[in-house]
Amino acid sequence: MTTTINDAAAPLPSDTPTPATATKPREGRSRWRSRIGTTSFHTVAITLSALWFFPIFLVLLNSFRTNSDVLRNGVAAWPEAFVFDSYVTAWVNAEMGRAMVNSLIITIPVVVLTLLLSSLAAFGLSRYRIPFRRTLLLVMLAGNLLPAQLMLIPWLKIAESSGLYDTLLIVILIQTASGLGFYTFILYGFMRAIPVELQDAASIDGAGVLRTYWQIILPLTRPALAALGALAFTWVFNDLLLAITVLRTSSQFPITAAVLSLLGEFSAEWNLIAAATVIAAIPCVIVFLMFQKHFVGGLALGAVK
Amino acid sequence: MTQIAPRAKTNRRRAFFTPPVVFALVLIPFTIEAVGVFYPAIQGILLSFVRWNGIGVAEPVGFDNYVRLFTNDIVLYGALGNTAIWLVLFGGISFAMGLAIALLLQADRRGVSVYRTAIFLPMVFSLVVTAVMWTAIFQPRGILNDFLNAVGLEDWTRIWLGDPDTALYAVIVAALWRQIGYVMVLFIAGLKAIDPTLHEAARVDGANVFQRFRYITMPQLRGVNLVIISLLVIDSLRSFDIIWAMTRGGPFGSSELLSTYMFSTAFTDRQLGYASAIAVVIFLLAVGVIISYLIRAFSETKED
Amino acid sequence: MTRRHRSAVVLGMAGTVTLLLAGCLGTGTGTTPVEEDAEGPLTVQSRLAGDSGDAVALQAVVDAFNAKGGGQVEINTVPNETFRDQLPSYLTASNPPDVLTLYGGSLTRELADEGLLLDLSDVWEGAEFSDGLRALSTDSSGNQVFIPTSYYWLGVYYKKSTWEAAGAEVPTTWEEFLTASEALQANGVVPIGIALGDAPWLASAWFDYLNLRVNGADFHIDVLAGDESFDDPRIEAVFEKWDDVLPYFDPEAPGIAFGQAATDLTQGRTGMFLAGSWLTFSLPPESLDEYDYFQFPIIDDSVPLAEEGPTDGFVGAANTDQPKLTKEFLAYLASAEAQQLMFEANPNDTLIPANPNVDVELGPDAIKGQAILESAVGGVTQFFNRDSSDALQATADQALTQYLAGAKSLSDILAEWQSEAERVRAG
Repeated sequence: MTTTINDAAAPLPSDTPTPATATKPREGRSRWRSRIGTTSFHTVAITLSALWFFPIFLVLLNSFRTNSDVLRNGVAAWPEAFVFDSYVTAWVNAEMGRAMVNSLIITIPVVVLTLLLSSLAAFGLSRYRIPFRRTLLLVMLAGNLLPAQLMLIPWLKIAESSGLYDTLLIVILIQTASGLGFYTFILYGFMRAIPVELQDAASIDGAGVLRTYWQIILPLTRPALAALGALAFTWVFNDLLLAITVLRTSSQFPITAAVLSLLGEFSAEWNLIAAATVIAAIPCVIVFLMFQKHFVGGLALGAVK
Repeated sequence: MTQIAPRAKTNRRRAFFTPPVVFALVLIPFTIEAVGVFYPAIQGILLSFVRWNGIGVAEPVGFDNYVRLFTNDIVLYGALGNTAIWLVLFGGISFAMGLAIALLLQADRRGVSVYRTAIFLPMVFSLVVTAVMWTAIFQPRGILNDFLNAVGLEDWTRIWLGDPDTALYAVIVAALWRQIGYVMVLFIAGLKAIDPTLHEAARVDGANVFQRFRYITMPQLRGVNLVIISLLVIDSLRSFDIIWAMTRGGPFGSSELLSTYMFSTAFTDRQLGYASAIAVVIFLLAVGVIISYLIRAFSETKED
Repeated sequence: MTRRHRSAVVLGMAGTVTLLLAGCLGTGTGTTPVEEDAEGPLTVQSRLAGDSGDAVALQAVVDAFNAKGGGQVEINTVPNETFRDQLPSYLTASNPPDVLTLYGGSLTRELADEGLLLDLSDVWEGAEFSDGLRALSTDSSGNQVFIPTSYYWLGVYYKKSTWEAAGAEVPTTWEEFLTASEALQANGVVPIGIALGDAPWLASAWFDYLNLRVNGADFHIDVLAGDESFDDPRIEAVFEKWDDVLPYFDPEAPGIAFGQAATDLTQGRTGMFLAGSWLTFSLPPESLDEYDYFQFPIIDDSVPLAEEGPTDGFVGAANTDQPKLTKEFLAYLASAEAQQLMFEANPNDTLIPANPNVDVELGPDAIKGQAILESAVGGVTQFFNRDSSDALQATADQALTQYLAGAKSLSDILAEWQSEAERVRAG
């Protein structure tokens, strides 16, 4: 892969003896190789990204068209003219402001709670010798193997009997509970890898369980937490099924249901729906970009030595 | 995963003594999951022992639904077969391509966050619209066929979503497009957790890129691979939205998976008990596949 | 799919199941009569998309009712698909929405038979609707449960310029229809467009009309109700007629999405499209006068003429805590005054108001549609899924797409359709 060529540009280990005369052509060759490497990397990456981006590109194009244009020329055509109206209309018609707020009210607490609870559970299961820990882990994971549709009606009844039907709170509670098995399992996988010396060192220093968790283990799991945070945000934000099952009033709907409301029984204004979709995607893109910074790792583990 | 030297067997990873608070740390989330997931799940499973159309009274029928499912249901075996194909293709290609792209984009160099975002974007855009775009791409006179005609591959054109031979695979393409970004993200996190000194040491020893991949990267990724394979199996069995949006399981059941069959049984046929039975079958399948894989994986790594 | 088995009773399990599910499942049976209305606004659960003409019309009539001062009404709009899936949970909830949008047909009757709909017979006492609409709104026990507000027609839509260019003439008889299709095909146009990719139920429009034309409405209703079988020779006769026009159907239809099919009609690739008046929402709004429709051609003069006229309206939830206000609002919806308001607020030429005393000027499409429907002495049906069920619709989708694709022999298709229908009805 390109990492080789990348690394070829790194300075040679200083303890490798090379005659002075031989260094120059070697450095020259590695710089040349690194330029080809960079070019080929970007070529491959750009092609891949462009291919991937194409359907999204279509969505963007459609969001700038008029409904007439889409009806006359189909969804996969270049816009006759670029208009911004769809965004305004979609925002108003789908009441996206309120729906966006609802989505955030649901998603942020769920992501925070889930990551907190599952990292605590994963920490306990991976770093300590709890009896039946692997069984517990598998049972928790098994909870996520159940198809969501099986649970919808029971969830609805729980919502009704707890008096929380048609509230955002029940969505938050159920979303949190549903994710725990999954995320605990994933974090367990990442936490297992942390060498025990670090933990031992901490306990020698007198750190208690929670301090070990907070100051040692959690920072080392940062790439995983960042990745999971981004993924969790996306999943919860894009949930539709649970929301439309336990919520009835449209003012409570998250943005996924609001976008769905734009679909008519026999027809749909795809330019509007495309615009609404683009608006709905923005928070997740922002979160992803933010969390990318934390996909950093490998350095702290070197501290062991 | 980050072992620098072969470990002596007696060198434990876990503390011998488990402070009581640790039990709380584990049992609190477990209890929450029990209330929010296990309890409704049991009720859902119980639903599979009745006949109910959602509006009248539920009629207990014992194991009727299951008997009917396994002895009298032509659709089931087709759906099982398609689900198996889906598992292998969707799961396998997601894994391979997710890993490949993660390897490509793992280094924090200029422009990489743009590329990563481009691959991740499909997950973030609502399926309602992206399914329409993919359907447009696969139309008989749509973008894919136009492209094939333009490069002289007219023989390859098909009615992608209308032909029973191609519908499932066309949907797999769209589903992969959505899924790979997420697999890539997990792999990047895993790759980032690999100690870079291992690679350096190997490079010094003269290992080329393939050798390093095989002897360092893959073994180091073992824990992550475990997680990702499990997740891909779960996701494959739960895949529903994209198929429903593009083909509804058609034409003629050629893209019918267990998940779409369950949904149509519940909401079109209004046979909620029978649909629950199908859901239980999906669950048992998932449990069987994953748990057996994990138990084997756990015992292999000599976890204490 | 499957066949029913004789049940094997597991007694202990049945007992446990019943106990555990007692809290889980609502039974939605009859209500204890509520003497006084509860406080608060009336909720109308609407499946009408936000800015559609129908939704605007509903808002107009709600505003007018609120202005009268008798009570306050609020509209709650949910996505159409969600409404359909969640309808049972809405009606069986302990605090259901008071009024719901719905359509006439077997679903309404089924819900009423389960005791989930409010009995509106007293609202109907003074109502001015036609006998046909009254029959449509009545459940199995003879009570009215549905307030119709509008209905629409089905026709064969075409673009005038496409037909002119091909020299095809608008047909009234089956022979003329075949001639016109020939002319279109000779001119390089695909005569009949249809979108089986994401809307296979469009094929049912053809089945319905062919059956109505060949066998009449009574037989059609009997087949849908299960009193006649799908492998009856009269159904075979329907497909024999269909064979006449099969060569004119779009060969790409199995993979075509609805939007694409509408665009094909617009661009002149296809010549005609059998659909309801809602098709015009998928045609470019600024050039709607380039399109027209004709009545599905007559095949057999001796068969009493029947047409499809799907009817939309409102129902009340039986468990509502405000039955008095609900009935007042529904009575208002039934009145000519309200329906006139709704019609004026919704300028699309796609609907006919249900109340005959509404004083409005219908657009040209609606005038034609009304005339067609009034000439249907043989009866007016609703559409395949509205007359039977979504589950039976799924069996029709399967059978008809197989027929159109030529995947199997007709006798196999019909035999399978009949057994599927039996399975659906038993389940």
